[in-house]
Amino acid sequence: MKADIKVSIVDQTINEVVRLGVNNPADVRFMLSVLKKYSFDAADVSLNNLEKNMVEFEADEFSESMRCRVKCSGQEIFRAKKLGFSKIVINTSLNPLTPIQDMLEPVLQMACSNDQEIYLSIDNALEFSIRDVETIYPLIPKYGIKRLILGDRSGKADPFTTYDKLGFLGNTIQCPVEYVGYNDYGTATANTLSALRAGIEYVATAVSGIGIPGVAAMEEVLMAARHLWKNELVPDGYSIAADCENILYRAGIMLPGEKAIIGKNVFAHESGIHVDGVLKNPNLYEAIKPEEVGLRRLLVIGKHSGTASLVQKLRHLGLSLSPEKAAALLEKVRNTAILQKKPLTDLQLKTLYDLQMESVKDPNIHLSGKGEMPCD
Amino acid sequence: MTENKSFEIVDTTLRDGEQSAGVVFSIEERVNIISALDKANVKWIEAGIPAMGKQECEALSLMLELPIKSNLIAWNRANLKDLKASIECGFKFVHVSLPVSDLHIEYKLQKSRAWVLDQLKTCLEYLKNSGITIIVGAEDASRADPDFFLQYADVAASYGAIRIRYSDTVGCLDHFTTYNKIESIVNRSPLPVEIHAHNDFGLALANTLAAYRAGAKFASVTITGIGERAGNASMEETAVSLKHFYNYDCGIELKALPSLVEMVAKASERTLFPYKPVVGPFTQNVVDN
Repeated sequence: MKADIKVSIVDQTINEVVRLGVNNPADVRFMLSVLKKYSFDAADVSLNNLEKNMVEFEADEFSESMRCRVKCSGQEIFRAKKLGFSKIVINTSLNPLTPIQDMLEPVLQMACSNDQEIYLSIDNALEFSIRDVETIYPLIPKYGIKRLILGDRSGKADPFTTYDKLGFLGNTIQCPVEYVGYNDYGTATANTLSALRAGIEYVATAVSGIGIPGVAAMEEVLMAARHLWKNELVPDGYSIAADCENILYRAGIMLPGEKAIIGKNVFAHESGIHVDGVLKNPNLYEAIKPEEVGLRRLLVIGKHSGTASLVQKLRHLGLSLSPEKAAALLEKVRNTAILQKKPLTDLQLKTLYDLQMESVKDPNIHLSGKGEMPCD
Repeated sequence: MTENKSFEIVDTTLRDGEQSAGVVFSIEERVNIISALDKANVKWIEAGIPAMGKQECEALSLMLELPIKSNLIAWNRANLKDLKASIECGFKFVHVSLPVSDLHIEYKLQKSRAWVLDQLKTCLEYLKNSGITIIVGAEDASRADPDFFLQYADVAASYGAIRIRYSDTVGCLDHFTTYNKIESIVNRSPLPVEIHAHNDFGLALANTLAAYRAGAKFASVTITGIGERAGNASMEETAVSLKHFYNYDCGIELKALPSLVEMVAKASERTLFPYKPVVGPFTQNVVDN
């Protein structure tokens, strides 16, 4: 495949954040400034969410970078214009029994006369044959449609079918194509990568895939393209974990520690085999370096720890232990972890160590409260 | 794509899932999870690692006494001490694992490919005539020379192993690569192939589906996708996707999945992300579809 295909992100995070009730322009401004670091093309927000949550920010300020999603209705086009949006996404669905052209044309005419930039979204396009989708092709030049957005709302296409269909559609449509992959079945990231590989440049994503319905996770799509495909056109991720977390934090969304790419614990290792390996060579158990996504490697001491990690952890605490004593201490460590159903804190480990060594506590040893340590 | 007629689910929630940093399941939780997996018709359950010590062995022996249909598998590093612990626990199914990539062989084991094959032979020889069913795991297969994977599979087959696990240990495959790699292997492998995918780039499910399409016969998954680092392919997404995309029924009782998910989320003390596909509270519930 071509290594360096162009990737342009159409953000869906802000739409979900507005739906959740964030209506402070400063928050939206902040989120946009962060998102713009990541192959940003535009951010969508639906008229429905704006009106429902009484968002009153000056759309003029955002009109360059935001698009307003409306239903196929003249009323909605009008209200979006009133809010100051010049980029309009008209949402519609194909229905072979009732051709949508008759309904679409008056709305498109209105958007045209308003001088609005028109993006036409067919949210179930992938369910249909090429011939069905072709029926709307004449509208593209007629109304100067900027981009056709193809969706798979009912999630009919797996990543391979998505690739095949979009490869074909992308070649027959006279304007740029955008893809939105929904995540009802968990394949949105893979479907979106398929779209990119099929030559579709514009793809919809959201931080951590949030949204109802959920979409592809921005961080997964970008970092997969960058690290799995070695695509140098995609920006680096040195601050992506913190950036994504900051955005979600403003919306009150807690990111799970195990969230791929950006979760705090995706470089945490506990099991003996893995820690032993990581200490020998991090590549053994990490596909990329933690710093490539702005995270740190953590060693956790718990039920699955082995002697190598125990010795390493104690070394960080300024303590040493012979292999024989490490084995005996390890058993106590495991029993404690099992008993409390949790990894050990540094203080707990130190206490067990002291008991084992019958040594005097060294008041100079710094003990953090958490059972984690950076491991370089 | 040729239609894949057989693709069975192997649960590793209690092994790779519990290996996730910070997670410890109590004995009671493990009993409940195994019983629920059994009720959901999960035929294969990787129950744990007997080599972890006396206490773990005692716990696992308890699990083996449960009146269930599922086959409980003990996970083992390829050494006789670990295998002895599994046999003493009373396991009838054992998984024996060695890395097959040169990276792992050189930097982790500090050995050679020949040593890996010899070590596998030694272990399988030890299990010969024990009546134990053998499953062999190939760690870091996704970064290994496919020809060496096949040599390794040949050794496993010659000792009567029933399948070979292809592990994408660090989750570095995309679905296109998975498809190509698995397709080229299944046509030459003497044993049915099991895919074990990690989610480091959010692609564990897609890679599992790619392996299904390419002719793999088993999928190693966990409830909620819990596992090392960013986790594994999740059982709920795998089972529901197989049905939805390919109309393939992998035998799992889909309706049992939401309560299993809740049970594992609680036992691992992890709150379910509201946007989690298939089972998240903000997600359209697709289990019944």
